[in-house]
Amino acid sequence: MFTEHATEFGGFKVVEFENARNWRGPLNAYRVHAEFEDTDFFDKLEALASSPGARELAALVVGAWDGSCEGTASTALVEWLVKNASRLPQLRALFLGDIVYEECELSWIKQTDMGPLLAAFPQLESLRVRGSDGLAFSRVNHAALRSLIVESGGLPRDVLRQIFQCELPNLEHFEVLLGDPGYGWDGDVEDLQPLLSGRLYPRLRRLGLKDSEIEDDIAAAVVNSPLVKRIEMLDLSQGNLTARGARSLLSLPNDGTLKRVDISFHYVPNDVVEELRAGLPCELIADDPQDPNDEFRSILHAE
Amino acid sequence: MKARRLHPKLWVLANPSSNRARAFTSSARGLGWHVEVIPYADYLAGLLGIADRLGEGDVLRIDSPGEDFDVARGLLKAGIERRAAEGAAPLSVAQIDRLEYSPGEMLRPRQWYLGYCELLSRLACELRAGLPVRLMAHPEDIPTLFDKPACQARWQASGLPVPRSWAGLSTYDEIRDRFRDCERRRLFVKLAHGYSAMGAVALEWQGSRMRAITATRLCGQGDRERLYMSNRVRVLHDESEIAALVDALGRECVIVEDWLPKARLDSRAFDLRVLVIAGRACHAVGRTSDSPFCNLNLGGQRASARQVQERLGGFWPRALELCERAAGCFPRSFYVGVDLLVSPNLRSGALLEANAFGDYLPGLRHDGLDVYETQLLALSAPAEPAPCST
Repeated sequence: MFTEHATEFGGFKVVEFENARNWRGPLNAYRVHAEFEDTDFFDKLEALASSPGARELAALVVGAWDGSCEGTASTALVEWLVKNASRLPQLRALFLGDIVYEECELSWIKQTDMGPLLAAFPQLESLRVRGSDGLAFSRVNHAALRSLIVESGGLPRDVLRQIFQCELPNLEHFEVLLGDPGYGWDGDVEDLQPLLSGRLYPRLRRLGLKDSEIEDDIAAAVVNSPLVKRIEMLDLSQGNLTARGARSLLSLPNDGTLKRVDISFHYVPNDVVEELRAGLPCELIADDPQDPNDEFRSILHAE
Repeated sequence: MKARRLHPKLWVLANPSSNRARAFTSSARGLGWHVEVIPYADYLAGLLGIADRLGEGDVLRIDSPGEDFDVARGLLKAGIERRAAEGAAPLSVAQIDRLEYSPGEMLRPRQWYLGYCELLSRLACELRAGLPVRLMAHPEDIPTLFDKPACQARWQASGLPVPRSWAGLSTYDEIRDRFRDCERRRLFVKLAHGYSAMGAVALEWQGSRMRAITATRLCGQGDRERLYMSNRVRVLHDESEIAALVDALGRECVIVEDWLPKARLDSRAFDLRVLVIAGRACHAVGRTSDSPFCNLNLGGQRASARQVQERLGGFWPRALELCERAAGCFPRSFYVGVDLLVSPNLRSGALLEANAFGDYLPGLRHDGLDVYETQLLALSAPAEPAPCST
């Protein structure tokens, strides 16, 4: 469950923006959200974009947008952003959907096609999206994007396929929560092959294939993949990784390219964690161990 | 007839080993009061009367009967008749005797409440017949303070803001049918006689989907059905599981009210607990949370009164005023703990509940004094002892 709002984004501290009085200059990540039954969400965005120096605004966090917790997709939000892109020419980091579980169930968040959004912000370097229902990445060809994070409790393979069809020549960081079949994940490890083949994203160095109920299979597929040879940070956290998956990570390349592996929130017994830590040539993070004997082995975000 | 004591004694009706009783008696003795504890167990068993021991001008503090399983049993027994009169099947004496303590179990809250009311009613009678004494919590107020619908009705009748609630709904089907065609999609179902989010369930519907957020668990079925309070908030999605839980709570009497959004402090939702003593808002603490429940036992974190005051800005005096007026609806009670919700736009509030024993706030200071010191000093201020009946 996502329980906390972001306090930092895009390298800036997050500041809540209710109205012009909250503006403290462009060197902050402003957060705009709608309260339940709030009618002035777009007024807030207007006020933000009209603030003195907004043209230099680099980071924007959109929390619960108007109607988001009542089933309204992000369509109108994305339309507004696209229409007003020229007022935010320096926007480099965008987080759409900084929504916690108390506000809205993760799988109830409805997103939209990010294609037009990315096209409207050619200078955007970092996009983080929460919610996979209705999410799309159509016809994306974006030279500046360096970081893409997609969060949900279940990502449809179709969306994954679309992401893999995006031309992102400068993407360095890709992180996706794959999730649970109950919440939209309908793929398997084969669906990751386009990525693991190494053919995509020539500059990719930091990879997160997280929150998966096939985390062991993913681990096994990653270690043998052409892609992993150039990966510096590998994140397989939040899923149901067991001893099997952990042991397969012992086969990760040890030529020094890989600097860190994160398997936090896992079902690996302590002795195997230590075996892995000793066998890996790089740093291992394995926080938040779960009970290896738990027969359900649920992933972290399955809702 | 006993003469008025020069130095009034302070009597505490409580469970002697409970944290509250120990903390209070220690504070009182530290301030020079002569304190005597009357165990609930003894009073329930009829071993001790109260009124015939109190001298004129003495003070009686009624504290919580919690933290003692034998007393809980005694209260359940005391509630048998009243519960049966409601048409429900109470736990019998034999069943109660066979009960074993199970941590977190919420044992027949309605029967327990009725039993406590029975005890308080007996106490009130005794006091009416005895000498005038000063009461820290009035035995005729406590039943209302412990009854959410009744308490909210009293507040509403006084023009105070409370969440909107709907009467006459006691099963999941009734609730769902009532709101099926409405826009309303968020509700709180709470035990009428609960506290600390005991038996509280936040319900939300969206189209054909729904969820319930709660720390209350239902185990077993039929005769073996038991309600438990856990310290972890969970989200349930299965409608039949949710219905079973709501139905079990409904059998113990619930209030169905609006699930209102709360203002946030540093991005966490919060509510405000204010202790009103002798009509004045004294100790206040914010309780922040990432769940719909701000209770400290469910992972809520304290925010200081100063932090809340800064956050509420111009609404702070109004918040305190609302709490004082809320306590003022119970004028015979020397102190009341009031829980207040503030709206996200910081322009309005809603009174959530009152706590007859809501003064157990260890370490909280106001004007340099902890809650008990404040109460005891206010007691020491010269005042005519008020007779306990109106």
